[in-house]
Formats: sequence, C-alpha cells, structure tokens
Amino acid sequence: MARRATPPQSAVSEHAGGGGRADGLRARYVGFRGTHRYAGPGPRSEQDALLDDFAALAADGFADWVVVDLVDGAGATVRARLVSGPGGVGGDPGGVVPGLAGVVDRVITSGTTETWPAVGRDARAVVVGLRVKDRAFGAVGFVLAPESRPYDRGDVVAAEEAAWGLASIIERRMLHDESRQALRATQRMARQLHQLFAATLNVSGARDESDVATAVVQSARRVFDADVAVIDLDAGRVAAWVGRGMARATRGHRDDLAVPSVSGERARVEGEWLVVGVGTVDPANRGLLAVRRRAAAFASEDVEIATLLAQAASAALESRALARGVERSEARLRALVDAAPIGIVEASTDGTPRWWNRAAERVLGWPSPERGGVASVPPALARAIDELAAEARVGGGPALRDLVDVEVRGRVRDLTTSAALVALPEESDPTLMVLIDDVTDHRQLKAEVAHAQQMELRGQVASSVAHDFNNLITLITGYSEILEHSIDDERLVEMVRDIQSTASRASRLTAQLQSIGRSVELDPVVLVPGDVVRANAEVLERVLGGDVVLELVIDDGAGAVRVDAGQFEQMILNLAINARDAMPDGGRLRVGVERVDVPAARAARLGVEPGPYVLVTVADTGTGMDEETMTHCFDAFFTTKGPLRGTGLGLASARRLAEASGGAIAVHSALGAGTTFEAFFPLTREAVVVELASTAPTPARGFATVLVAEDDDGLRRLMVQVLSRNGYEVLAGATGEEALGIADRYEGPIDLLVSDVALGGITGAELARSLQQSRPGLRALLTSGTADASVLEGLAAGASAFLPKPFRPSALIDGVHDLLARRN
Amino acid sequence: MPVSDAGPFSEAALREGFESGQFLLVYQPIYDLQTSAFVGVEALIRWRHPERGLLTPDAFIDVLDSSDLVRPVAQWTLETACDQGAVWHDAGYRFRVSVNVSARQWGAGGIDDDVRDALGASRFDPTLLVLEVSRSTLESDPHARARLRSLAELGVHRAVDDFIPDEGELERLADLGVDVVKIDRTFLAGRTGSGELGAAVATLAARAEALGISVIAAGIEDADQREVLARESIATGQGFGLSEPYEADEIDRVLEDFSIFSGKPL
Repeated sequence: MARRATPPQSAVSEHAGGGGRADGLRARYVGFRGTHRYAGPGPRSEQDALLDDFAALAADGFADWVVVDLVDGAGATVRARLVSGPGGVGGDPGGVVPGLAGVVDRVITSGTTETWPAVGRDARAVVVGLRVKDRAFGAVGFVLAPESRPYDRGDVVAAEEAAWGLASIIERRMLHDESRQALRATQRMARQLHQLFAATLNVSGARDESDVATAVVQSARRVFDADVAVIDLDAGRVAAWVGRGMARATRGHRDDLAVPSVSGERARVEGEWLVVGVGTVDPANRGLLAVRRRAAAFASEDVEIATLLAQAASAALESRALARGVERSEARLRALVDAAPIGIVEASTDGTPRWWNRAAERVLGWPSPERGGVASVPPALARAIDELAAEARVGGGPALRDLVDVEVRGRVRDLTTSAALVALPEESDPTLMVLIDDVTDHRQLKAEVAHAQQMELRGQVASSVAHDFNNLITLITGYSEILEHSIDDERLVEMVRDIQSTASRASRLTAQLQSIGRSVELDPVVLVPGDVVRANAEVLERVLGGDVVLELVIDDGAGAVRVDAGQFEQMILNLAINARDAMPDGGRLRVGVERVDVPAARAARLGVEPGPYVLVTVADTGTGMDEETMTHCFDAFFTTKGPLRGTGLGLASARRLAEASGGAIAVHSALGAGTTFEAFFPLTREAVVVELASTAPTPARGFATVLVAEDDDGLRRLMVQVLSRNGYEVLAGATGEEALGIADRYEGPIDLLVSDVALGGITGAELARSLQQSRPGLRALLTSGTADASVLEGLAAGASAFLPKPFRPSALIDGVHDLLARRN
Repeated sequence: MPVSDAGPFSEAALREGFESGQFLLVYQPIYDLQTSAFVGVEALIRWRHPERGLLTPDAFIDVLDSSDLVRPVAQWTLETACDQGAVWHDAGYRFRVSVNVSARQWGAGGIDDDVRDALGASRFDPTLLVLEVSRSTLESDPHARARLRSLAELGVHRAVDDFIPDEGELERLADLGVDVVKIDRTFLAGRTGSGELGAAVATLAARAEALGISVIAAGIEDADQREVLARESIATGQGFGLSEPYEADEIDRVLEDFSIFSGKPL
C-alpha cells in the first residue's frame, strides 16, 4: 500500500483503553489534516493516495479493518477497499461482521452513522456515511477483529469526527481542483482570446487578400498551438499554410494534407482537424480555415474561438475588397486627372496650390506634387486666380480668364484659366479647382491657318488673273512673231524680239502665279542636279552680272534626284536672282551640290524622312536677313524688293518644288552675314533619263483642213492667221455650237480641231468628242490656260493632244503637225 | 558530432515529434533571494516523447543542433514563451521570462527579426523578455555588439547565462551591451562552503549595480548557498534547491498559492 505522506505524529499502536484509542485516532487525524489540507506546489495529489493514507492512519491502532466505499453520482459503487490492520489479519471483514455490506449501503444512502451490531454495547464495527458537496459520496467502515475490545461511545464519536474530517478534506480538495480547472480553462481561454485579439489586429492591418490569408493562418496556428494551419480562399486563388516553428506562412496549397471539407460557417471538429468556413458575402469567394493538432483534442472553446477567428478573417477580407474597389476607383480618377491635357490645380481658397496634375507640371514648369517642392505661381496668374476665386464665391459657377504673354519660367506664354469652388465632403475649407491651359501653340496654329487661307485666296485671284493674262500674252507673242517675219528693218526686228522676250517673261510669271493657287502639274524626271547647275552656269553668270563671282562646288558623286526639270532650273535661277539683289555692291555666290545623310533629329526639324539627300546650297555674301524676313521669306507674295521689282513668288515656288519632291528647303542668315539657302532632294537610285534630240523628220506642213474654236476674238484671229500662213485650210468659230454648225455645213474633210477648252457653251472636249463621232479620224488639239491634259479623257486615243496656254505660234504649228503626222 | 547515429533520435523522429506538438516549454521560477518574491521564470524546452516520457534537451540537443530544425524550434520557443509571458502579464503578474538562444540561432543572424516577430505576434512587453546567450557565443561573434544593440533597441534584456565572476569580466560584458548576468551553475556547484562562495561573489553586486547589470545566481542547490548569496546582495536566483521547473499551468498554481501564502519562504 503506497503511502504518499507519513503522518508526522505516529500514534501509539497498542490496543489501549477506549479513551486512548479515540485520542490516538484524533491525534493521527490532526497530523493527517495538516499534511493534506493544503495542496502545496507540485503535481496534483491523487485522491487514491489520500484515501490510502486515511485508511492507514485508522488501521494504525483504531481498527483492524478499514473499509472505504465510494459511489458516483448515480449511486453505483466505484471503489471498495479493504485495509488490513497492523496485526496482518486479512480476509473479509464481512465474515467478522455479517451483513456489513448492507449496513454500508444503507449508510451511503442515509449519510448517517451506524454501529454493528445495531443493538447492545459490544459494537464491532462503526460505519460512517461520507457526504461531499451535499450528496452521498461513500462510507468508511471501521471494523474490529473478534478478539479486540468493542468500540465504546467515545470511539464512535472519534470515528465520526475522522470520517467527517476526511469528507471535508475531500470536498475541499474537490472544490480546489474544480476551481483550479476553471482557472486553467479561463487562462487558456484568456490566452486564446489574447492571441485572437492580436490576430484580429494583424489581420485588419493586412494590405490584400494574400496578406489576410497569411496573417490568419499564422494567428490560427498560434491560437490553437496547432501543428499546421491552412487557409484556402476564393476557389483556391488565395491560399496559405504555416507549420509549427515557421515564423511566416507560405503562400499556396498543401496538397498532401487531407483537409476535411466544410459546409456553412459553423466551425466543427473532425478528427485532428478543426475546420471553419471563411468568406465574404460573395459566395464565390468562400473558403475554409483549418488547423490540425495531434497533441491534444480540440475543445468546445476552440470551436468558439475558431468561429470568432473566421469572422475576423471574413470581415478583413470584405474590408479589403471594399478598399480595393475604392482604390481602383481612386486610381482611375487619378489617372484621368493626371492624363488630362489641361493643367488641373487643386488650391486653397487663397490660391495656394495644394496638388496639381502632370499637365500643370508641364505648363507651369512645376515639380511633381508627390515629390514636394515649391510651385511658383507667375504673378499674372496669381492675380487671375484671386479674381477667379472671388468670382467663383459670388457666382458659384466656373469663371474664366484669358491671359496673354504670361512669363512662365522665362518663356512668354498665353494661358487660359478658369476656376470653380469645389466643396468636398468632410472638408470644411472649400477647394479651389483651377484649370490652366497653355494656348500659345493653339493661337499660333490659328494664325498660321488664317495665313494659309489668305494665301489660298490670293492664289485663286492670281490664278484667274493669270488665265486672262495668258490669252493676252499669246496674242502679243503671236503677233510679234508674225511681225518679225513681216518686216525687214533690222532695228525693228530687234525691237520685236524684245517684245517677244518680254512676253516670254510674262508667260513665266503667269505660270508661277497659277502655281500659287493650285497644285502645279509637276513632271518629275531623274536628273543629276550637278549637271543641271553646270549646264545653267552661263545663264547664271549673265543673271548675276559682272560684280558677283559665281563659284560652283559640285560633288560629281552626289547622285541623282527625281524632280521637275524645268522647275528645278527655275529654282536655281530664282535663288541666284535673290542673291544678286542681296549683293548690290557685288560679292560671291556659291552654288554647291553634295550628298548628305540627314539624321533623325534634323529630319524631324526639316519635316522629311531621315536618309540620304542631295543638298543644293545657294550661298551669298550679301546683306542677309533679319528674323522676321527669314520667318516669312517662303510665303507667297512676300518680298523685300518693293512693288515694282519682285513678285514674291520665287521662294514660294522653290519651297513648293522641294516639298513636292519629298525634300525641304531651309535658310540660314544673319544681317550683314549673307544668306544660305539649302534645298534637300531625296537621293534616288533610278537611272538618269538621257533625253536625246528627236531624229524624226519634220513632217510636211499644210494640206489639211483645220477647224478653230476659240471664244477670244483676238486669239482666234491670230490662230487663223498663223495656220493659214502655214498652208492650212482654216475654218473658225467663236463657240462650240458655232463650230459644230460650221462642221455640219462643211462638206469636205476636216482633219483637225483646235479648240479652247472653255468656250462658254459646250466645252472644247465635248465639241471634240462630238466631232470625232461624226467625223472619225478627226484629230483634236485642245488648248487651255487653266485646264491640263486630263481634259483629253474620253477623246479618241492617239488622235488628241493638249497645248497649254500661253503658246507661241510655232508651238501651235508644231502641235498641229505632230497630230497630223500620226495620221500617216 | 561524429555521425548521425551518435544520438538516440533520428532527425526525422525529432521533426515528427516537433511538428506534431510533442515539444513543450517548462518554466523554472526565479526568486528574489531576500524576500522570496517570485521575479521571473526561465523557459526550458522539453520533449514529451510518446514512449520515453518527458525528455530534457540533453537527450536530443545534439541532433537538433545538427539539423535544420534549429531555427523553427528556436522560433517556436521564442513565440511560445512570449505568448505565455503575455498571458501572465495580462493576468496581472509582472515578471520576466528568460529564453535561451542557442549558438546556432545566434550565429544564423536575424535574431532581432525573430524577436520582433514573436513580440509583435504576442504583444508581450519587450522589457519583460530576457534573451540568454553563452559567453562563447558572444566572443565568437564579430557582430555581437551590433546585435546586442539592436536587441536593446527593441527593449529586450540581454543576458549571459554562464557568467563566471572573473576579474574585469563584468565590465567587458557591460561594455559589449549585456545587462543581465547569470552566475554559472558550475561556479556554485564547486563552492559549498559559505566562506569560499562569499569571497567569490563579494562586491559583485555592488559592481554590477554600478554598471546597471542585474545578477541572477543559477544552480542554487541548498539553503546555505542561498543564504550566502543573499548576504552578498545577489538579488535573484534559481535552482532545484529553490524550485524545479514546472509547466505553465503549474506555474499558475505556484503563483496562486504564493499569493495565498504570501511571505511563506519557498
């Protein structure tokens, strides 16, 4: 029999007299109580040991057998113990005390004390009922061997006192254990709640779902001291797990763990697992949190705690989802405002900028508001914002200001600004929203458009004037040619030739005039600019006069370009004439041709594609140009030469040619430092077309009938005269209808029609078509000062040609001859 | 460690034991030697082995130290001790919790991060946490000073747990950044006679106080040692002569009984 504690005062164990036996029991009991009353620090004492000790102290001189019977709450016997006395007598005390079991049962139920035999003075046994916490707990029986002296009254009282004392110690211990267990449960709960609280804080501080997931598993593992905790959210898109001893959770799945599934939000225990649903109102986002603990089973408090933790996680997830929505909306608005092409400034009502977008940074040269730094408001703008703020306060609506020539970081800009007061929720101080737009470029663009429109108008006027002019020039040229052949006086012939050359210049001028108003039909051919310049060197020298030295710097390897040959010559000539005019006291003109590679940056400035170009440079040592002149020198009708000397068309034509050819023209100049024009033409790899002189024999003239339709009387008469002189039979009408009538009436063959395109009634083309139907084989030569060769469309192919006005008589005759020659 | 089978446990067994929650911490009380007041606990690791019962680290420390479980176990130890400390603190008790840091954990670096994590998760008062390292660990670490400083910045106490009161040693440790020294148990073990021990620790308390260092006497085995140390003003101590280590809920009981029998010498 194990003894857990030895009674410090060992009682005398002899069978002393009644008083001695009872006193011995009392003395030993006092020692027993002193040992067992308070549970000192250390492992919990066991009830068995307590009962063993009690039995031992009773058997030590007070009883030969001690019988302890305990029952549970339902009255069933849970313990029956026999303790033999010191004499070593064993066996069944029931043999000594018949019916003892019945007595014990009775006493357990009644809680009283009985002696045996019930009557008489020779009590051989005392059975005391034990009541603990007001219920039957068991009974202690003290039994004497037959040879021992029976119990007297004093012994029975001592036995009762000891048994009741035992019951009270048991009760005290029971209460102590219960309160300790309650305390422990409370502390465990407190620890879990403590960690739950920490977990809630951690989870609510998470940035996104992944953070929530990792914070939740870390907390869950700690709260339950689990071996492993896993979370699986949003159909597995967010998952994390953590094991014991891991400082941080790992994102992702653990396929190797057989995590039970979960339904609903209630937490439940399944084997080693505690699982609980986690999720937001969105069922698609639902997931589960699971923890596994092998060392100890989960208790009902754990289920409660898990439910709380899952709720905290769900709340955090929902708030993350909400926050993300807000962030997304905020980011979208921020992106819109930041990308707005207009400067947007958020200012306090006194006009101090608080925040601004990127356009405002650009327009006002401010630093980024995120990086900090001072936004210096130009004084003019500050004044305008003040006024606008005042207006906005009064009117409520947006107010506007146009600011011209505001100095922004050293540059003069035109600004348009408007402001509105914005009352933001939860901000007592209203915000001034200021919009600022830099309209400098916009204004310049508008000015340029207006200029271009003006140019176009002028061009249209010029073009219509040119049309009439052409007719006049054709007349002058024609008659002077006739006159030249009609007179013999050398002096007069010379004068007539002067008339012709003047008319010829006038003709060139009208051609240029026409080219301003509409696109000129260019006839680009492949040519070598160097060769063209060389071929025209003599002409240039004559144009420049004796005081200007011409210097040609030609790189023969520069290559070929594709350009209208006539216009190209004209451009060189025009540039040379300008240079000559800039050098009234003589100087040096350098014309250079070279190949250059235009890099991307320069190409962008010139407005061309990067690549190889042939550069034609015309540089003089003249008076040079100021900024203003340089800006406008390529404009049509812009001239510095005064009303009588320049047309203002030369450089405009040059630019038109260069641009139409895929190139560009640039000017560098400074007053007193001369002027350099640079014309870029894209290099071409095409072969140069060598124009050979025609070897075809000149066809015989005359022997044909020509019908002339021309509404200009003078010109018609000239044409009739020229054709007649060259041996043709000529019929003539002033309108298309008249010509048709003549043709109808004329019985002989009509070989050729020469007709103006514009005739008032039916057009020259219609006339030609009509006649070609009634008289197959009829040739048609259409002339016009405004139309081009496209008027020939619909006419008999190979039997029609176009002659632009103005034309020389010889050109008319050549054209007629050419057409008639095809007949053969 | 010559070979892996030199230890009785395989690393896998250790891992299985750790990961299934068989490791636990027990706490040895530290008392005020004058008043017997309860002033702290030292957390000690145990393994409740399913077949072999409760094991002290002697049985598995070699295997643990040579495995990659060192860091997880150390992290778990810190975490659990801080959690428990926070619970006691919340229950109204304010005493220090000492945690041992192994040479491996210290050498691996990141000890301050581990401590910060454990404190953050438990919300334990950093000034109640004492980290104990050995002298040799500090001496072999060229970054010891910086590490001790970063721990001090967290508010955590830094202890040397095998302090021998040699000439100038106290000053060297104070200079390095240590603020608690625990007199090594072997030092007491060799000095049973009161005269010998008294001479060895004479003036130690005064010097330590001047340097702002707390002194704990470890391994107190009997009342004589305790009496001598108390006489020499060594404020606190621990040892089997005072109290064996208990599990956390037994410590609760000690605290409870202590509050019932206040003034009762322990």
